[in-house]
Formats: sequence, structure tokens, C-alpha cells
Amino acid sequence: MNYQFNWGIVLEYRSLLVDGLLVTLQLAALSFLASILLGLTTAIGRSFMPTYVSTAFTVYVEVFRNIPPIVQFFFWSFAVGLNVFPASLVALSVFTSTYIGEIIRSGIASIPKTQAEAARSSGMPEFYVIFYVILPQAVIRVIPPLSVEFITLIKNSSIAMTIGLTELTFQTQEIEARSFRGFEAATTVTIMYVLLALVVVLVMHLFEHLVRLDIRKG
Amino acid sequence: MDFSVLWPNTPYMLDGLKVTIVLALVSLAGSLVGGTFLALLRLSPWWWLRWPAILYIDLLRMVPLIMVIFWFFFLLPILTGGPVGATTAALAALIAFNSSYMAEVIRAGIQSVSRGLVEAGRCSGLTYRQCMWNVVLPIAIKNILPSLVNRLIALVMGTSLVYIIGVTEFFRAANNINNRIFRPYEIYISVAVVYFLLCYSLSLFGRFLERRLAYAKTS
Repeated sequence: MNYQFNWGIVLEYRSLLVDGLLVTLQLAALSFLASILLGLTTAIGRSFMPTYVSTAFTVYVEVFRNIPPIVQFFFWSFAVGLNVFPASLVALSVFTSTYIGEIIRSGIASIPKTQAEAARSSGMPEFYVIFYVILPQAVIRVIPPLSVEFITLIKNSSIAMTIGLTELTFQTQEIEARSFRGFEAATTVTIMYVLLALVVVLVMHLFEHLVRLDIRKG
Repeated sequence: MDFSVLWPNTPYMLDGLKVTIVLALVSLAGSLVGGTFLALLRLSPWWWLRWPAILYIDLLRMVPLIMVIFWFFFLLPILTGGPVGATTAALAALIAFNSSYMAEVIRAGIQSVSRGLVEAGRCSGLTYRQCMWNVVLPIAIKNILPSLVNRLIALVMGTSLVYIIGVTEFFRAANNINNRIFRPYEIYISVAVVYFLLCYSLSLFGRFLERRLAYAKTS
């Protein structure tokens, strides 16, 4: 090993890394929101709607979860022709929503059938049964797997670099191109992703704690 | 849209598909071996074996695959002191990355084997190692076959990411063609269809295994 390490490069290019981190956070936050909305829609569609609607949602889920995300990024960017950020947002949200939809659907399935039956027989319209009785209980139950999915989403957001979004991973290449210090850059960015995941785990843990306390108070 | 423009390019695409399948199979084999050893280390009674395994598994699972690929791409030349082919770097990264996920699946399988069996094995005079290899692992692997198939799907989708370091697998082959004939709609849709058929048939196979396993458990 004759390689001379130069970790000073990290400080020298810190503004690139910070910019990249901000773009990653922005993309991850927006597409998490969008994929929760999309996932909620597919879960409701597959759990409560008539067969032809639920079949359509099943097709949506099976199609978009079985195509590698990089292909989806390229499709929205180069075939459809969206700008880099919207293309990343759509690709990431659609891909993640298929997983989140399945998680929420299993949450809905875990609520005993008797709950819905009791609500219906006491005269509640279907809308209330879904949004006031079933969903609140289901959503609370799926918070832990959703937080895992958020970490996965942050990791998948790195694929946006392939279509040219200047997020965190993109900056690795940028620093490598400017200084030929690819290893130092890649190591630093890797550590940043680990820290990001740890922060998410911590925050979600606190959030989960708060929500659960809330339930117990009734 | 006119898909016939793709016909002259199918041999090139098929070559790429072959590379993708070879990458997937080699990294599947590698990560099964790596994952089994990591899982065994992870469950070891000795902390100095257990902790490094935990650290490795959890760290790798927090990092995007693209970063791991980049990292190996830059690391291997430093370690060997000479140029390393992109395919070698890609395989090393895929195996290192997928081993950590495989390890968790295999660990779950090992822990699904009832303690009674392990104790019976140990009582009849098997050593810890014999008991693991001959009693626990065969049952564990049968139990986790459906999850292994799911990991295989993720692994196949992951191979498309080695595109970034210049390995001409299926996705890169498709991009090369697109750069020449510029037919993004036709090309990316057909790429998506091929990946979909590959991954969806695997997922149907996984569901079949799951049903058979559930049946075997009830009967």
C-alpha cells in the first residue's frame, strides 16, 4: 500500500458535501411525504375497494416494485423528459410507495374484522369506518416499519446521482473529478449516510414513544 | 413508439443480460457464503467474534449500495496497488453489500430452529460446530427459502447499479444503445419489461415456496 491519504480534502470541499446533504434531505423528505400519500391510497384501494379497483392497485404495486429504481429514474428523466429534481421525486416516490402501501395494507389487515363490523352495524358510513376507526389504529401500528422504509428511501435517493441530481453521492464523484481523492470522499460520504441513518433511527424512536404514550392516555 | 428499431440491437442487449445474470448468480453464491459466516459469527457465544460481525452487518445496511460500489471501486486499487477491473470491483461490492442482508435473513432462520433440537443434538454428543452444520443450518435454510428469494430479487435489481462504474451489464448496454439511436421511450420501457419479468417470476416463485412451507408446517 503506497497510497498517501489526504483527509484534508474533506475540509477543503466541505461546502460541496453540505450542499449535497441538503439536496439529499430535501429529496428524501418530499418523496417520503409523497410516497406515504401514494402508499395510503394503494393500501385503501387494495383493502376496501371493489375488485376492479383493487386489482388496478395490485398491478401498480407489482409493476413498480419489480423494476429496478435506476431504470425508473432514467425513464422519468430521459424518456418522459422531466427535470432532474421532479424526475427523482417521482421515481423515488412511486418506487417507495409500493413498499409503504404493502406495509400499511398489512397494518390494516392486522386490525380485527370485528372493529369494522361493529362500526358498520352502529350505522357509521363507510368513509368514517375507514378513516376514523380502521386507519388510525393501523397507521400507529406501522410506524416502526415505516421508519425502516424511510432509511431505505434515503439510501435509494443516492440513485438520483445517476441522472445528475447534485445530492450527497454525486458530490463523491465531483470531489473525485476535482482532486482525484475518490477514496477519501467516498469514505466521508459513507460515514455521513451512516450518521443520517442513526439520526433517523433516534428521531423515529422518540416519535414512536410520544405517539404510544398518547394512545395510552386515551 | 416503434419497438422494431430495437431488433438489430437485441444481440447486444442479450450480451448485457448475460452479464447481469452472471453478476447476480456469482454475487448470490458469494453473499450466501459470506452471509452464513457472518450469521454464525453474529450468533457466536464469544463477544470478540460477535461484535465485529454486528458492526459489519449494521454498518453495511445503513449505506446506499451505490456508495459501497464507489467505495470498493476506489479502495481495491489502493489495497492491491494496481488497477482493478470494474467487474471485479462490482462483484466485490455486491458480495460485501448483500452478505450483510443475507446474514440477517440466515440469522433469523437459525433462530427459528427450536432450542430443543439444538439441545438434543448437543446432548447426543455433537460439538457446537457439528450441531450447527448438520442439525441447525439444514432446517434453517429450508425455513428461510422464501426470504432468500426476496433477497435475490433485491440483488438482481441491485446489479443494475454497477452501471455507474462502467460494467456493461443489461442496463448499461441499453444506455449505450440509447446514446446511439436515441429512442428513450422504447429502450427504457423494454428494459423495464425485461427486469419486471425477471423479478416478478422470482417473486411468484418465492410465494410458491412460502405456500409450500406453510402447508408443510400445518400437515
